[in-house]
Amino acid sequence: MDNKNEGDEQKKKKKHKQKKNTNKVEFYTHYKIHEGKRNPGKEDLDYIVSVYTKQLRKVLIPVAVTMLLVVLVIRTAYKDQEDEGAFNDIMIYDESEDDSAAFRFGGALLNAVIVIAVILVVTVIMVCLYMNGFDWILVGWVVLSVFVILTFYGLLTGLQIIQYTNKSLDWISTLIIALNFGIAGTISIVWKSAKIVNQIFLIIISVLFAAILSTLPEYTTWILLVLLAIYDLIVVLSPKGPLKMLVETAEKKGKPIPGLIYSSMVWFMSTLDKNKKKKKNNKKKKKREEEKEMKKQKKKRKKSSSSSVSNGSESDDILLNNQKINLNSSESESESEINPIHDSDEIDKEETEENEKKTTNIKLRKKGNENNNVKKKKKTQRNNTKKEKESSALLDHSPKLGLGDFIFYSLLISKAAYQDYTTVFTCFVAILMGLSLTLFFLALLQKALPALPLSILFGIIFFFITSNVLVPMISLVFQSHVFL
Amino acid sequence: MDPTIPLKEEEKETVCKKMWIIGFFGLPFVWFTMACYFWKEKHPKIRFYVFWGLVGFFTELLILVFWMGIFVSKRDSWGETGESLSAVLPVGTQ
Repeated sequence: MDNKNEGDEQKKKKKHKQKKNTNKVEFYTHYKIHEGKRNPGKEDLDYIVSVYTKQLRKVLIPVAVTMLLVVLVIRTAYKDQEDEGAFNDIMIYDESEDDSAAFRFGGALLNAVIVIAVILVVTVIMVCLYMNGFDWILVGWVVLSVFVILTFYGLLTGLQIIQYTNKSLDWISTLIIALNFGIAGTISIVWKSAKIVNQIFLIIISVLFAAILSTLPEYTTWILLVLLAIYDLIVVLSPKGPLKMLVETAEKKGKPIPGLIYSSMVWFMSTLDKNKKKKKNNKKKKKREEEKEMKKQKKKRKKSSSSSVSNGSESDDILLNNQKINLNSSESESESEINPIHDSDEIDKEETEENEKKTTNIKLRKKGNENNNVKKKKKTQRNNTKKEKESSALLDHSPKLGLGDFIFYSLLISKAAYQDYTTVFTCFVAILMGLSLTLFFLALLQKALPALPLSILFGIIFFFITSNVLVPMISLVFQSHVFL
Repeated sequence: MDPTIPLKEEEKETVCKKMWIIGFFGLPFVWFTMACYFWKEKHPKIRFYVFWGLVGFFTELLILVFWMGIFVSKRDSWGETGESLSAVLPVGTQ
């Protein structure tokens, strides 16, 4: 009874707050474990794990689909393009096979460090812009990058696929299709759209972006991935990082951070009665999804991504004890909340190669890498009109993953796709394993965690082991007609 | 900015109308996504928009496919016009 009364009070407060801003969506994460105890008890753990496993599927399937699509695109359209992309012009050090391994390594390290530095700078700029109220710049940036990526890079990739299948196509139809695709995608990502359409376009953006990034020279890619994983780890888990400032500012303002996130988006109404395990959560923290998109400009275009997986737990309203896992990976072009880009520069660069690609999750700006944050968040949106019963609220119980994570996983897979299918399979399994592990820790630790490091660690280990040990062994075994 | 937030009842008609108008600029795919989003609505005006949006989408799709069919089959016989119109040139044609 006490719980209920307190819950009612809290709800009333909330509703009161909500009435002020009718359009405001309050983001809460709600998880209460044994009224204040930090460590979950056994039954809580069971509940957590059961919720987590149900939500795992929702995150794994889009990541798997994205990776498979990237492999498809690379094997058809991009086969000849490894190490030939436009990114090579932007890199300071041009890798070539003539140089010794150590020299290449040093040069690649230089490239990667510069990329990370750009990402950092762009993130800081974006945080400053966001905190000073220049949201419209960020939103405009995201819109522009989504549009450019979908239209131009989509056009380029589509043309290459058609050339691979040896069909003919005329310019009129091509332009019509590309423009339709681009504008419909932009609308569905930055405005309102059906859930499945949104997810599909986010996946497409991730695929396009990763395919473009895959044209980076080899040593640079690997070093970049490692550095990004470390960077993500540092940014997300550091106590004073820009991520926290961003989240707090977002909470204060009550507006979602502009950026690209993939959300499985399960909204449903819940009332207090249905919640068996209502627990009062005395903490009232609002955590928002953090999407950090950092855009780096590599000589005007750079991407930085930091991934963080965070669990936010807030308990104002006791609606459900659900954990939301938000994975925010902001990366790339399509959306980055905070990445100012120099459009003219990028457009010039892009036209040399490709136009930018998507945002993470679909939303990402290619330019910047977003931070991948996995957070558990619960969004609760209360209806302003009080009904006869308790307040019902819309809760978003979906895990949210930032697009940056999608993009970098796909980048790793694309590097494997340039080799052969065995490597692809092993890296695929490795990345999904890392992702599941990250989600498990998210369910357990209830705070934002970076989604990149574990998966990239496993992916890199499996890639090098497979390509250097497994593949030669298999071909040797086949040649000797030994059946294992 | 966040498309995951469900729309309220009052906003649905304005959003639907805006998408309907955007679709007139030679963008039938926007009509299709609008139909995907507002498929289950019962409001008569929204159903009007969705229905005619779908009609427009399928009509334009038919025209596009028709044109593409003509182009693919007659491209060779058009000579120079055909080549200048092509975005992709297949190799090894007769």
